[in-house]
Amino acid sequence: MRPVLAAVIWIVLIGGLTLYMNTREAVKLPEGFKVSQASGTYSLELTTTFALEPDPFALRTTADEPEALVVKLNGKELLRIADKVEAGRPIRIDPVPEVHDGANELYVEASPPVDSALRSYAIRIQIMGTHQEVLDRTIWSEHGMKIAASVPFCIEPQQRKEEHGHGR
Amino acid sequence: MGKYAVIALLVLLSAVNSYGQPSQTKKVDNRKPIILCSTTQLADFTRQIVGDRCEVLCILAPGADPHTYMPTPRDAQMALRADLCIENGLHLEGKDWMATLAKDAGKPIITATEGIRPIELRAEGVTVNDPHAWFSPKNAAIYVNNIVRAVSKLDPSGKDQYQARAKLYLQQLRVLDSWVKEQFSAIPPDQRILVTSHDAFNYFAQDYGFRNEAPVGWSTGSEVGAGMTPERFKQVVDSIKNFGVKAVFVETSVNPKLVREIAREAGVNVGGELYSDSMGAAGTAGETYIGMIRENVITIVNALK
Repeated sequence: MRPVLAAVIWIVLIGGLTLYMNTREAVKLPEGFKVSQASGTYSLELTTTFALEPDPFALRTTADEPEALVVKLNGKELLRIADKVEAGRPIRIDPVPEVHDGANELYVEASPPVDSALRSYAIRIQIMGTHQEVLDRTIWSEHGMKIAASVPFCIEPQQRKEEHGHGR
Repeated sequence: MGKYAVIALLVLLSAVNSYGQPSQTKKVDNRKPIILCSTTQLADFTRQIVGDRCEVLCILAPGADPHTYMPTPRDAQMALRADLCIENGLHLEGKDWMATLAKDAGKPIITATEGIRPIELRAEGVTVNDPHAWFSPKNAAIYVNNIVRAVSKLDPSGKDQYQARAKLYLQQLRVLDSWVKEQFSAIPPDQRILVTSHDAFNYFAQDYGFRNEAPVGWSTGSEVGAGMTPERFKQVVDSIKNFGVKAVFVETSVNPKLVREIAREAGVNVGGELYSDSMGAAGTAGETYIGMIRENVITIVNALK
């Protein structure tokens, strides 16, 4: 009788534990970091040393013209241009949506002409707040390569308040 | 009584253990989609896009000539297993053997050169479209985009993966294109004459500023405008002499005898062997498309600069 009793106790313990493990509620993961929208107004200006033109080496998922310029901010697409844009002509986005307090990341992908591949090309990226410049960076391409750059920038809360204050 | 109690409890335990577990009885189809390509270049482009998600098969072995290839019963079996067939098109596959294989097996087929602006060749009073479009990396990008769209349609759940791999590969093609231009800048423009076995390098010549001469027409087969004629032979020898060409080149997939004869006749060296209608065997530098173009460029620059 003792072995049966031992087996019963063992089964009750293990069975109870298994039942608990399978029926307990899933652990609630902490909610993701909440980002707050930066107040104030920001604008973005891009100026290239080359004429933007459709990239023959672009991924084309549709029959549309391939893009010459793609701009994303914090993972969201701001701009996609498939048309030709002459060199030195500024491309402006004003206002820029989705600017957050704290860390932000701007992604720029531009296609220099492939036929003059032995030259280096550049794109100037400027982000302006209402009263002050937030970012001014120039990115250079390797010979013949596409420009693809992630540019981090930070909006300090003080800067945000200042922008907000000046805006009134 | 005790025995029955233990059995009953074991059954209960088994039931408890299986509570909340996913069903194991669902039949999962883990078979990878099978893609059948006619040429080694197409197979390489497809592998770069699908990774290990699909099985890629190729009809032609490295070094085989697509113009003169005759399909075998084994090829027909591969076509029957395939979920998608890919051909180069523009009649590269002599007598359209790949389209015939796919049609006989009842399988969908796509043409990788769809959307390419073909170079028109005039021979024997007729105009034919040059099928060797992959020799331009820009055209290779069109091949890649056509294949991405086809495999995404075949396996929609893998679309993001295919597009991500293709995007990286397209950048590699762009870098390859600019590297080729940089390498050829070492050859004076008047020395950029490419004499090869058959007329396969027109797209390459067009992209990189070469004049292309070949004793054999666009195909090594018996199509119109293909094959070797005494006029073409004489024209090639005259061009070599007139332009002071330093070297001529044999091709990996074509018998080198004719080019060696031309080299003797014109008094020039054979500059090396170029990959043309087929890539190299596994383990060689030319086993991929990028490797094939790279090795060709290095061979040409070494011989002509």
